Amino acid sequence: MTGIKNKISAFGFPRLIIMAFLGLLIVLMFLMDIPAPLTFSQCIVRVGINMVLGLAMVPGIMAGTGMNFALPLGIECGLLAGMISLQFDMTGVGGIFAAMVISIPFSILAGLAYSQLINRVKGSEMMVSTYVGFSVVALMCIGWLILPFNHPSIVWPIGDGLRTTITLEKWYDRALNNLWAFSVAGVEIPVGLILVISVFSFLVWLFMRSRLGLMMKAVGSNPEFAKANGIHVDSMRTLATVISTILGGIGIIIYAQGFGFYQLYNAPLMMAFPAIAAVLIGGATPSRVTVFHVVFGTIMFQSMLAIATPVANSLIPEGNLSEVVRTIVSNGIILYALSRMQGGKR
Amino acid sequence: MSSQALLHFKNIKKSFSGNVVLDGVNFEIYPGQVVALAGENGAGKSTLMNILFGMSVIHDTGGYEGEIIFEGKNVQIQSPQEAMALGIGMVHQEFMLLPGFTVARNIKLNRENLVPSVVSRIAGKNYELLDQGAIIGDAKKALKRLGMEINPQTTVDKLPVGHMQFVEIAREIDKKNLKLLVLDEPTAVLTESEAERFLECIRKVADEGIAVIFISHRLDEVMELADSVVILRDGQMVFSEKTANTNKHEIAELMVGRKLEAESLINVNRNLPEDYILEVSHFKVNMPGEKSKDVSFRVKRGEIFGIGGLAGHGKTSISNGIFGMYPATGTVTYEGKQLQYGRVGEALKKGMAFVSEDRKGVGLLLEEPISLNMVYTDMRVNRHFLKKYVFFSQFDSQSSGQIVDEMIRELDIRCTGPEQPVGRLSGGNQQKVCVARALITKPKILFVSEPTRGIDIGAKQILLNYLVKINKELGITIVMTSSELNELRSVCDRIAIIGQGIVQGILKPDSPNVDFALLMSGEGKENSNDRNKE
Amino acid sequence: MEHSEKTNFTGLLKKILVNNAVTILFVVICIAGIVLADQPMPYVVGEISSRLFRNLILILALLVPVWAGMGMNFSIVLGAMAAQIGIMVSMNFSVTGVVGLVLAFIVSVPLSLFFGNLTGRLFNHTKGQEMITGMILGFFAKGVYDLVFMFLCGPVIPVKNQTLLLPNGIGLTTPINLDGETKGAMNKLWTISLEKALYIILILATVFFVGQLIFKMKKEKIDWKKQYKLYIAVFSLVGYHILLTVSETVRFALNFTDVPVVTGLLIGAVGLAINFLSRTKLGSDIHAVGQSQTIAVSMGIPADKIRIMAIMISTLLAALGQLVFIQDIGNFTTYTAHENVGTFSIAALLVGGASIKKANIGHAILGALLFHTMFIISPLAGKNLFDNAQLGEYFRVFVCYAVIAVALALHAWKQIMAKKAEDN
Repeated sequence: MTGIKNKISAFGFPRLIIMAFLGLLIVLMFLMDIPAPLTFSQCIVRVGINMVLGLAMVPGIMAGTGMNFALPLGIECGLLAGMISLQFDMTGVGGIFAAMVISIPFSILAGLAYSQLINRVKGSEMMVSTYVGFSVVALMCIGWLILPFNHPSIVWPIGDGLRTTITLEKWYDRALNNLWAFSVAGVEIPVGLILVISVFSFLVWLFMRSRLGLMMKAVGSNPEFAKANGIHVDSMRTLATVISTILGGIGIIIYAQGFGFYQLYNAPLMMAFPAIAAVLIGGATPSRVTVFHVVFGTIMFQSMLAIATPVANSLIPEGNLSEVVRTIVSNGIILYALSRMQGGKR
Repeated sequence: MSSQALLHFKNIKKSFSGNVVLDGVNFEIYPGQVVALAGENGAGKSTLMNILFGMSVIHDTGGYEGEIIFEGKNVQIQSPQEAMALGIGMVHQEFMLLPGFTVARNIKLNRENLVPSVVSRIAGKNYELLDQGAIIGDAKKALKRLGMEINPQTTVDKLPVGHMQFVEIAREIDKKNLKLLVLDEPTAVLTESEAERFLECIRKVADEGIAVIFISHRLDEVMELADSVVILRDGQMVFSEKTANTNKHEIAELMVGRKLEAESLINVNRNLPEDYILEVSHFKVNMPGEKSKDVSFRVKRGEIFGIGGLAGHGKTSISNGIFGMYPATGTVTYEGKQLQYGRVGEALKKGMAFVSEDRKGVGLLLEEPISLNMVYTDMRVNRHFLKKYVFFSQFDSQSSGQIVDEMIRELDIRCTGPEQPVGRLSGGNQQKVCVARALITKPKILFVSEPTRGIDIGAKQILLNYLVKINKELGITIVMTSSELNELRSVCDRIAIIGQGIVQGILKPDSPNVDFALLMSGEGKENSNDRNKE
Repeated sequence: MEHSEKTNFTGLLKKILVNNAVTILFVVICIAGIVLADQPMPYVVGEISSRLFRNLILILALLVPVWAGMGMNFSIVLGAMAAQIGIMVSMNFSVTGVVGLVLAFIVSVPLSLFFGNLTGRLFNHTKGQEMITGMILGFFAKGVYDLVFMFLCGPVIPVKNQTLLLPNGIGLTTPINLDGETKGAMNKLWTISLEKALYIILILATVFFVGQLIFKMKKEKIDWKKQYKLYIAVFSLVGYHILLTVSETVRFALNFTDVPVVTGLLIGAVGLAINFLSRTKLGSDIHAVGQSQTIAVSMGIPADKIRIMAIMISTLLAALGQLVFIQDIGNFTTYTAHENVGTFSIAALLVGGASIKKANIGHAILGALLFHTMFIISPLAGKNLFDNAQLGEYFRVFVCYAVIAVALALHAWKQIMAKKAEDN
């Protein structure tokens, strides 16, 4: 009996609830005659486009800066690169990769600057990073207004600045999703997308097992141990912040192509939270994470949201029930993780 | 002195999971008497005080045996609050003072003088107003009883450190029912003149009829202040006598105690050549709580060099300083070259290795498996156990497996396998992993701090034997820091005793007990200089 | 000797500048903004005054948790929700006017105390991370709030007043408009001009300090050098009088602006209550816990309980504050009105010179003044400067977040430096 109990607590109570909830949603979906293949297709896409944003949480947690609430920093870098790719009419899969490459120098610069701050506020990283993220989003709101973009399809026809939402039809709308895509029993398999996220997951996995990755891990799990082994704690934290920012930038480009839009201005404000929630649902803690946690968590969380949307809509057509569910689940899981941190090192 | 004892410890026994830490402690204290409680670190003093204060560490580990008689009644103290209610007060080593509050408010903390307000008549005592005048008045009175001129309205953070101790005592004597005051190494942070004043102050308290238990390592103070002395050693009460009937040397001798068997001193008569692998001079390390001020010594190649001394006097800071864990100044010469110890990882690169005294805090990655912990330093410093690809490397668990298995066998590490997380191991086995980690880097010189702290006897012996073995067979020079003098004496060639942040003297393992004890209590400097030069 | 004094003085000046960097920067921004916005003075004064009365209690609600060492209480959002629920209840039963407000408050008291209690318990599980917990808790509570009022009201929870419901009967409508009688009910009870109000306040302050001094004189000798409070009061009174006689514009602007006396008295009462609290046993315990939980506990102060009390007080005041806010505006967006309560109030308090560890009523008033001046001015200034009001709006949002980020970062950094200094 106690054996079962131990196993449950090791697996994590909230994970069980979410799995049960997901199961219930799937049952409801069939009961309510919601077309399953379509929903599953959407599931796969949602999981895919959110995966890299989840991976961006890995370096921060490894290096002990905790969950990267400043993910919007990377996202803004990615959006800036995306706008440049649109401005110069880079299309297709090539355009997507071009945007990713362009985003990297921005992310490196932003990450370096930001790590200067984060290395000075050890112990309060989460709170500071949240508000740094918010500040950057607000600052870039001004940026979107005054930056010299002039492609007629991305700026407002009248007035100043970029549009709030930019559809990607003319450039690379779902280009990765559709690459080598095929369907099985009505379920669309976006091979290109899956391939790309697999490559990123694999790279992160490789990194975690490399000498540098192991050094970063030591910094996160025990900074004193790291110091005693001749590791510069601050430079590892800087590296982690830069990598996280780069992944955030690439993540938003993959997200946008799969979604079909770039959303500017206030859209990135809260984007760190679902990514954090997904990683936590996968079994990560604010001090320990694996690639499996990210993959499993993103699958669970995004599938839940993808299936909840049609189910909620057929239950109560008005209002946005699935949005409410998202708010409750994602913040609930973060609260749970915070309350379990006590007694840990940080 | 009244005829009835205020407090009587009757045959007190205590063990932590089978480890006996107190055995048969018996002594009495009378009102107005000052009893000095002496003994080495780990002799059981703090455990005895924890029992007296009903701390939860005691109850959580199965309570204690024996009786405590307070004012003629058998008492079972369950919590510090109960102890306070009985009239037992304690001044801790760390100050229990709120820096932003005034001296007066600190003295009256949670015993403030209150006056009812309009709101409190309805909403309760929480809303009564503080009576600032009465608080300041009481504080003034208490400070005056100690003969101290401290303005009760200054905030504590503006107070010199030396005065804080007095504020703490003022807080205790302000309690109307105070009958017994326990002082835990109260003079450790005080300058000489402050300490003198402090002793006067304690005398005044005792003259008011309050009994005092005085824990101190400074034997001069013990002799000056205490009416009687109780000495604990390895949990046993070895001495209880009037101060008048004893002397400093006897106390020192008794504290260290144990007769050592001649054959247990392994390295007492090794004559090593005058070839110094490490020279430390005027080394000063700023390690909080363990500061060293000016340390100089030389270590011979192939030697086992011991560093001993009391906690808080700076012995552990030396190896920490050499490995860049805390800021330090002074010169360290290793193999004839100056060591840039300030640079993180420099010592490791030069072929030195370190086993920290803080096993869990510094020595291990608790959530990671034994194998990774063991090879970590070698992987990090010497880039071993890695598979190299074009532009990245991967940890190679196969090549590390062999040496890990070997170490597990060699050190007899009890585990389910090399992949068990070290956090699940017992303290002794964790320590073995730390030693293995250091040795896998194949160091020329190994620093080990407190290698046997908090581990069982079996593991202790294995570790010490192993250190002796690698020293003999592989010729690894060892610098061993330990609070356990006997352990140092049993394996070392020479032992430096650190006190007040400097080297008080360097002794051979077979030097008389009393020499060790006097050096430790900081009284050996003058007569140890000649020994230092040997 | 003279040299060392000089360095001492520059050192002190530097310290003052560094410690109040945020406040000083804000004064500059506000002055520049006022100049750039180029608005008629009565408009500016009127706006600032009404926003001050609207927001001050919400900012005051933050003080007690700061004393208790829990930092800025982001979870005052829950107090705001309690107030909104209170208003919904009184509207549901069609109770209007001042009575409606009183009913709303009565409903929100147990709710906010309950929410505060739960929040405090949660914070006791996340010691050291109270702020981030409070913020996430605010988001979480928003989810639950939405669930209840968007989906359960109507089908599950009966709603008597059909105008509150959406046409299909599921969920509450947004925004919720207060009845004409309820809107500004408290403000409209009694208004006087700002000119008079300031006179009265300054005269009362002077009288109070003089009275205090006379009372003291009977007991002890007065150190005339240290009576700076009295001097400031007298000086301000004289200065104010001269200002009014000299400048017709200022006099007109102040005369033109009406202030709500009852609301003002309520704010005064809250301020006095907070002041009173800090002198009581409970207030003393709160401060002790804020300095060191370990020491407080070892001295027998129940730290966990005190922390819960601090959050309950804060949440209750937040409910009161949100009620005052809504009655002034006259409506609230059902599902978002509470969202920015925490962020804006905290930013304002920090602008006033408060930190995570130290905050008093003065910080709250100065902060409210500066922050809301910036809030009104920046879109106007943006419009004049760049011909783009949107820019100013984004700017003020940016400033609001950046202030919090900078204040948090400065504080964390200072703490680390202080610890380093201590180790040396």
